Amino acid sequence: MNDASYNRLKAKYVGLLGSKCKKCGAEFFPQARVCRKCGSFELQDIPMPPTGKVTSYTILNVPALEFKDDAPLVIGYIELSNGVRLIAQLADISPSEVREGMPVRMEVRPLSQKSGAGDPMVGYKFVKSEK
Amino acid sequence: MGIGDLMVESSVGVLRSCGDLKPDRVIVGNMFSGVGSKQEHLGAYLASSLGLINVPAYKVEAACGSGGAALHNAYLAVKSGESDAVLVTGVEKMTDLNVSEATSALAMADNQEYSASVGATFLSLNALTHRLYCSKYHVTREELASFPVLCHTNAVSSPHAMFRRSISVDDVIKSPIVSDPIRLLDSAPICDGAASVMVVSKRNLKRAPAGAVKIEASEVAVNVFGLAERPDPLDYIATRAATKRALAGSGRELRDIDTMEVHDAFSITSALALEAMGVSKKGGAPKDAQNGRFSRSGELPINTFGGLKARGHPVGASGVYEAAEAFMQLTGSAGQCQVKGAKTSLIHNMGGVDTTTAVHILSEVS
Repeated sequence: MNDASYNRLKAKYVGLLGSKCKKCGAEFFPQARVCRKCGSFELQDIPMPPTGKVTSYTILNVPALEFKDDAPLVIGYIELSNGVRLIAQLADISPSEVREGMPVRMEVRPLSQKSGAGDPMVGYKFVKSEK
Repeated sequence: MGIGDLMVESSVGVLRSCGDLKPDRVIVGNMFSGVGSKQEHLGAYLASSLGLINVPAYKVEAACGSGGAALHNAYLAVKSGESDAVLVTGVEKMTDLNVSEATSALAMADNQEYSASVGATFLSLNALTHRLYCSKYHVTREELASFPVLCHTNAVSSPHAMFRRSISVDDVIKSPIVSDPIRLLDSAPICDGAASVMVVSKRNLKRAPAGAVKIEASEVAVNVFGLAERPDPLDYIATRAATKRALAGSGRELRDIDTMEVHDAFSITSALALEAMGVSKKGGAPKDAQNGRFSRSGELPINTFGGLKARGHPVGASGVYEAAEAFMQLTGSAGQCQVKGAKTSLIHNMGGVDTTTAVHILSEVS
């Protein structure tokens, strides 16, 4: 990701910004311009709830270039408390302790070690949660 | 060979077998020549290299489904009456990139900003579905490994395959973990390649000395773009829709299909594709593979030249490889890979995780 695309995305990452259909109430992440459920063009921005659970995960040993120093990455397929799902890195959760069904909550963290130096690129990651 | 050499060499092979028949349109299937070779504009590049000036020529892109999408476009051009002979060449040059660069390039198949940019790779997306699938249907890693084992067995007698050696289930399980639970030998390789076919109108049929097969149906369908956003990530709805339409369009049923080329980018994609088509019951495809149902001597042979896994997966070319392989099966020119009595074949090519899926049904011309 270069600086220009990061500047465009930062607020969406940090705010976990999605959309809600004004007509049928369906929620989406990332933002949607058209409702995939009812076809409406009338949607509003809403932040997604910051808590959820891990529904699947993978331990990624061979990441892309930008994440080379972070291997192994623990990647989670997370279902948020509103039922919307997304893919994100799990932070402070070791490959041996990650489990399906594990409750997690969102935190804003540097996206990669590489972006950690100087002014880091930050985004959403998920950490273990009590409930 | 560079990307130009690859696509030209493969195209010359087909033109040579077509005698004096010259294409009136050129379509290239390719995913990432811009990233992989810093080269775009492949349609004009190829047509011009073949001495074909003034014909329409362009590239069609649908990630790893580019080849199937290119073939679909050729079918439409001929079916509409606009073209009488369309050269379709699928090409990918991947090995000028190192592994991390190729990994980044492949990740362009999903929503970059919400998968690759946050750390996921294309392989890790499939790993998420692999784990979900095994949990949901109580399928073991060993059962899923039946797919790469089958493909390697078929590739031994396949002259154009990349890996002409057999492997065992144990080899798959013990191979390095790329993105757990996906092992190296669950994954189709990064490689270079090109494949070509000529799609001709009925009136040109007799001018193809190498023989011909009929395209009975050509269908493309898309799924929700981001894997994470799908109501059920294990449901390959694009595969299901394209297969259903292709069968209906050709007046066929699954039991009429004699051979199948399935997009086995990973062990898990073979299983989910076969189940979405209705070939196996949900959670049942790996067991079917283990029991020999899909072997070359089985009830429904798949990936008869080794599939993506063992023949190789030069991504934008794979869909055209499948078409060329079905052609060989249906014209009795498959050599040691020949499935006896093959009259009808289905080929299945996906871009992304069933994000764009092309299904074609081909049959022998009697």
